[in-house]
Formats: sequence, C-alpha cells, structure tokens
Amino acid sequence: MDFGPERPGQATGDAADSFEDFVRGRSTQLFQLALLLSGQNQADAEDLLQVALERAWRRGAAGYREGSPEPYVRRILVNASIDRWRWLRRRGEEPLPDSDPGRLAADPAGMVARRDLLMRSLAMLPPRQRAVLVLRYWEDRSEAEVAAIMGCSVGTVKSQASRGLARLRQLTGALPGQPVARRRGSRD
Amino acid sequence: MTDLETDLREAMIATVADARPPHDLMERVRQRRRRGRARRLTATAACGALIVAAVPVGLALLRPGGHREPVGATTTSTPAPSRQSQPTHRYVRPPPRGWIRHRDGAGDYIDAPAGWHVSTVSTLLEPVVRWVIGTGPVPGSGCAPRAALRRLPAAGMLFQVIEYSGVNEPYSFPPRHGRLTLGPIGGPYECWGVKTHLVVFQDGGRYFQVQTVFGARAPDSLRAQVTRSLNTLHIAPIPANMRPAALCRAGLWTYCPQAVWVSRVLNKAHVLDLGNQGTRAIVGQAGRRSFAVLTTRRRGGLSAIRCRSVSGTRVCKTRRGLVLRVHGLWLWLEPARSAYSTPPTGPGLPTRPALRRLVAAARVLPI
Repeated sequence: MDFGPERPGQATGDAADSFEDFVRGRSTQLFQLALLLSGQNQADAEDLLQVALERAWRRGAAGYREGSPEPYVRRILVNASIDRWRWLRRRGEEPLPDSDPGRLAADPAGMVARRDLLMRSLAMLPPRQRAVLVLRYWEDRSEAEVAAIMGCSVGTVKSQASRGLARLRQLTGALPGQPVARRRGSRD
Repeated sequence: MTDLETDLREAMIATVADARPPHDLMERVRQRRRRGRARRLTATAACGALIVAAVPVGLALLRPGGHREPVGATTTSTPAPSRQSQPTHRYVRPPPRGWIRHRDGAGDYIDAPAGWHVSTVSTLLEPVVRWVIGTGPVPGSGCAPRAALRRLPAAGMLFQVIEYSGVNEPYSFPPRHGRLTLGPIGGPYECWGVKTHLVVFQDGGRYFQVQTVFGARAPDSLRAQVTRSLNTLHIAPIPANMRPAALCRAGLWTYCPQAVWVSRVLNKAHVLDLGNQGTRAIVGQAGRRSFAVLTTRRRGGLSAIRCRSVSGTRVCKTRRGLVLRVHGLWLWLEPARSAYSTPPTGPGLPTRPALRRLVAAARVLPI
C-alpha cells in the first residue's frame, strides 16, 4: 500500500485516503486483536483501536518504514493495551466471575462452557502475558515475531508464555463457580 | 502443542470470529485526531504565553539593581479571568441517599439501592449486556442471567439492561420520553426462558432493552424501586450526526418517524413485518405475498394507470405497485422479495382483505 511522501504529522489528501482504505480493509482483524488484548471488553477494544489508529495516522509515513502501517498499528495496539492495563491494574485484580455450575454440568456442549471459562481466565491474566498468548496462539506468530512486536527478548516471550499458560491452567482447573482468590498488585 | 494451547487457540478464534469494529470507526478516529490536535495547540499556546510572561520577569531580575514588584501589586492589576476561561461543570444529580451509582466508564450510569447486586460482565458482543441488577447475586451470564434467575428469591427481583449497537429496525425502538416503565409482561422469551416485563427504547441515538422479573411474592414497593432505578439510567448520547434524525435527513428512510408509523400500521393491519428492504422500506407479508411499504413526501412523477376506492380512500395502481395519499404523505406498496419469511413468499401486492386492513389502519393511525 502506497502512502506517498508526507511530512510527519501532516496527512496529505492521498495519504488520508490510503489510510482510510487501510482502516476499511484491516479494521476487522485489528478490532478482533484489540478485543482479545482487552479481555473481550468491547468498549476498551474500540478505544484501544482508535488510539492506535489515531497515533499511526498522526505519525504518518515516519512511523512505519515497511510501507504498510499494519505492523506499526499492531505494535501500538499491543503496547497501548499493556500500558492501559498497567494503569487500570491499580484497581486490583477482580475475582473470576462466577459461572453457572448447573449449566456446566448439564450442558452437552461442554466445549462451549470450557471456551467461556478459558476466555474469562484469559481476561484475568496480566496484560503482558495475555498479549504474548494472543499473538502466539491467535495470530500464530513465532516467538521471535512476538518479541519484535512487543519490543522485548525471545527469552521474555518464552517466560511470559509459560507463566501465562501455567496461570490459565490454574484458573481453568479451579472448580466452576469457585471464585479465584483476590490478589492485589500482581506482577506481570 | 498441549491440549490447553489447542483449546486456547480454538476458544480465541471462536470468540472473536463474529466481532466487527464499529461502522463509524474512521469517523471516530478522525474526531479523536481533531481533539488531539486542539489539545496540542492549546498546550503549545499555553507554553508560549508562559514564556512570553516569564521573559520580562527574568530580565528584570537580571537587571543590576532590579527588583521585583510585590506580589500583591501584580495580582491586583491582573484582569479577572473571563467567564469562558473558567471550567464549566454541568450539574449532575447525585444518587438518592442509600443508593449507589454504577458507571460503565463510557459516561453511562444507573443508580441502585446499596444492597442490590450489580454485574456489568457481558459475555455477549452484540447485543451487549450493560447491567444485570438483582436483589440477590448476579453471576456473569450470556444473553440472560439464568443462574441468577434460578436462585431468584420469592420476594426478589432481577433486571437486565442490554444495548443493541446496531439495529436493523430502529423504528421499533420508541424514543425515551418521560418516565420509563417496566413495560408489559410477555414471553417466555428465548434467552430468559420465562415471562418477563420488557421495554425497549432509544435514547441519545442508542438502542436499549430492559427485561425485568419479579419473584412470586415481590412487594409493590420493590416494583416501585425498580422503576425508580430504571429512571436514573443516564445514557451518554452519540454524536448528533449519527442520531436517527440526522440519518433520516441523510436519506435513510428506516430511521425516519414515517418508518415508525408504517411499522405501527402493519401491526394494526395484522400484516407480518418481515424486516427492512435496506434502509428504503419495510417489507410486509400477507398470505404468501411479500411487498415493500414506504412513504414519500412527493408522488415522484409516476403516472397512475387506474384508481379505485378502498375503505373510502383512493388507491391508485402505478407501474411499480399501489399508491395512496394519507396524512399528507404518499404511501407506496410494491412487490418485494424477502429472504426471511417462512414459509417462503413471492413478491406480490397484498390481497384485497389485507389491503383493506392496511388502508384502514393507515387512515386511523396518526403520524
């Protein structure tokens, strides 16, 4: 996608049109990523995506050297989600919302219930671990690619993924409906 | 890859597969950009003003033998700040004593008595569950708080506020005027599985549905409290250019008051409402025939082939269908296809009895 030469912070008409084309074409994928990064909170996901797109648009061609703004937007999305949740974490970790034990036991579509529990548990993870898991398993990216997007080392990606999966295992292993112990200021 | 990793991948794919960004995403980004630019300009101007003010003071201090004016002397000569520069605070009525305000972070809120349980956890993306409020615990839920419903005490209640982010039939959500009521009891509804009170409305260009269930021995005072709580519901409006009136002006007929009227006419005439034909018309069904119903202010230059009287109103046949004049509008009926009818229908004009009912309803119901 050609965004044309432009000064940082100055969107020319063509560049603005190209950016709109980019948003039109890729917004669904980016929104889905934002949704997963924000713990399936639609309002937060919309906000995150808008922040990322606005920042990318403002920076113009200077922000993305590869030609397409997508990797740049993706990086802002991941970093903004981590920053945002770091700030929000001051509220303390919320207990895992109670699920419906009767339905879990009786529902033949147990897979649906397990997915639900998994996604709610994913939303409980610290933002950095969640971002690693989303990029690794939803976007199917290699550890090196995840490290490049997040601006950290491959070792950090491995350790975050490992901790994230361990925590998920712990959360989903809990009895349905049993709230997870309340913890404050957990480290990511 | 372990089972957990596989499950996680599948869960993530399934969860967001149908998620779509807001249709006005680019417009929102544009607005955010404009706001950011204005903020940066203000900050730059403030910095500039500070520098301009600070330089003479600094020079005066550096001047040999220079001294500063007493602070009082400078402050008395400072003009009073203009009214525009003062921050403006809109008065917001506080929650009643003993009640708590539950905000959703996006400017919406609802007040409820301190003892009630409130959940804002929505596992649905569309529509979104905004609040589930009950006298007992309200665990997270899908499209209805079924777990809470099973544990509903005989003297308790449970209500849920959901928001539709995009509706195909905006005319079926009446504007919120005056006091909200619990609405009539209907159902059993698909999600709840029981009969509930149901009320739908639009407020600030957004579309809401509230369903309420009471225990068998719920006192009247509890019903009054729920109604009071509902009426504290504050909705942050969406930008004026996205509201139904603006969309109607832009030519999206289904957002116009005339569409509300057509929907009521179909209902009164016992003609099935099959949904929309884009944003141009509402599709009705009578027997095995489906037809578009729409209104225009002008006749549109179509010449009538022949006219006859139906229920005392002149109905004319045109090349595309039928047209009649009622309440100063032209009401059009045109054969139309619908993909949603069961059993399938074919495009055709309403049968004579259905047409009579439609004409009578159109005459009786005011716009």
